[in-house]
Amino acid sequence: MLRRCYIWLICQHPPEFRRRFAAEMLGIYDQMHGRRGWLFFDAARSVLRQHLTQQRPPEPALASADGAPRFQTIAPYSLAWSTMMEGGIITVALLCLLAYAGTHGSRRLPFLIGSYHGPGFLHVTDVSNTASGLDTRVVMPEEKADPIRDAARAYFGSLLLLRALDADGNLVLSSWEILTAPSALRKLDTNRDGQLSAEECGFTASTGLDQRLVAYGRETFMTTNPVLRVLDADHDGTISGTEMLTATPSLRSLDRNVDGKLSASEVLPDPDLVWAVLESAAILEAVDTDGDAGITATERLSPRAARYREIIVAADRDHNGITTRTEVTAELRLRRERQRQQEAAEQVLGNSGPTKQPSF
Amino acid sequence: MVSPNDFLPLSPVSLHVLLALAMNDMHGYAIMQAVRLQSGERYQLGPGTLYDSLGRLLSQGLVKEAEAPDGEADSRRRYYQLAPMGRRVLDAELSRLEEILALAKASRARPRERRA
Repeated sequence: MLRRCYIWLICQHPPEFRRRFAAEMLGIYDQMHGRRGWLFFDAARSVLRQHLTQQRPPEPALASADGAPRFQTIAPYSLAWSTMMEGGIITVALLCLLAYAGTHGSRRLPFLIGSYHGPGFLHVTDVSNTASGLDTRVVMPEEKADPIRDAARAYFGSLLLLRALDADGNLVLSSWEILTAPSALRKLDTNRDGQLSAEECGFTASTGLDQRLVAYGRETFMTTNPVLRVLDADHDGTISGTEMLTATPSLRSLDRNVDGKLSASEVLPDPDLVWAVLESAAILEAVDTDGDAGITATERLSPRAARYREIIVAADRDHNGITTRTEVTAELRLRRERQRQQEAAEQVLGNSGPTKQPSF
Repeated sequence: MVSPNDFLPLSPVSLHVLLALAMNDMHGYAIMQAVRLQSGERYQLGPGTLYDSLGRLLSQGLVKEAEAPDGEADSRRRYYQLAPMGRRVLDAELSRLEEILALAKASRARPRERRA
């Protein structure tokens, strides 16, 4: 193997030198045992010296037929071997320097391919870098479980209006997206009537459903989704042209932490509100027999209302004898809030009080 | 007409090679060994350096190829001998070195003048 390398080095000499001395150099190499490194260094130095000091003969002169003076060029037009060798040596040295800096430097060079190891990128392990085979192992970073993000992804995906507002799809309404909200909303106006209906915002209802239920679903859709609720400032169930124009300040009213953007937690509907709305719908469906969206005193007394009577009576805050759906929803939310406070208080007392001994 | 002085001063490698060939006709490996002995094993030529220098001496006409002696087994070996011009150049170089040496000795023997 070493002998082949030495032969290769000899072959790098200029042809004339090679023809004359190659066999002798190889003979000396075979005769000398040991000091191989010195022999290789000497041969490499000889290659360099031969190419750098080699003088090219001048181009042959052009013959003149009419007796005019003949000219010849001294400098060759083609690239000299020495020049190419110098360029090659400088290139190899620079590449070696870059490779060394890229692998041994304390900071990875950002412009080198594969040197960036920032978060969010696939990380190729060092084991796979050094492996000789082609079975490169790519380790996917473990995605942390984020229930809010999962819910936000599903929510943004299901709500047409949010998809239109979140132009870059990062589940956050940036300040720029909030600023450009009016134009994004106008694109949703498919029937060009200058306002957005619940359907244009993403509400869908199965065909054949009772119109009363559809209307209630539409109202629920516009009130339970925070973004729609603030955009529909007059709560008439549609986003008018004026409301579209004032979309930016309306959306900013949801920015609880005043960071200039709306994160998922600020956009997601309040689970307690959703629960209360659905629960009140179920109560009215059971009790409101005449379908006027209010529970009258007569309906309160019906056997179907027995189960909810206490809630219905308590919900009638204005004591007018009619409990509306809104009042039921508010009452249910209030009760859920009280329940949470009570649970929190019990938890605090349980932690600070004396430890209960288990009874046998 | 080329004068021996035109080749002076000789490089250390050329001087050693010419000195080695002045003793006898030699092949490359023998020249390397001779140079090593001449310098008290302080200077060793490699094949690349040797043939680089030999090529130049051959083209200058200071060295020429010689017939291989009878019984030489290795057909790859070529023998070299000092050309007449090479011998004259070597003599001129040695004379030059002797003059330098004499000058150096004379300057060393002279006592230094002390500054007032």
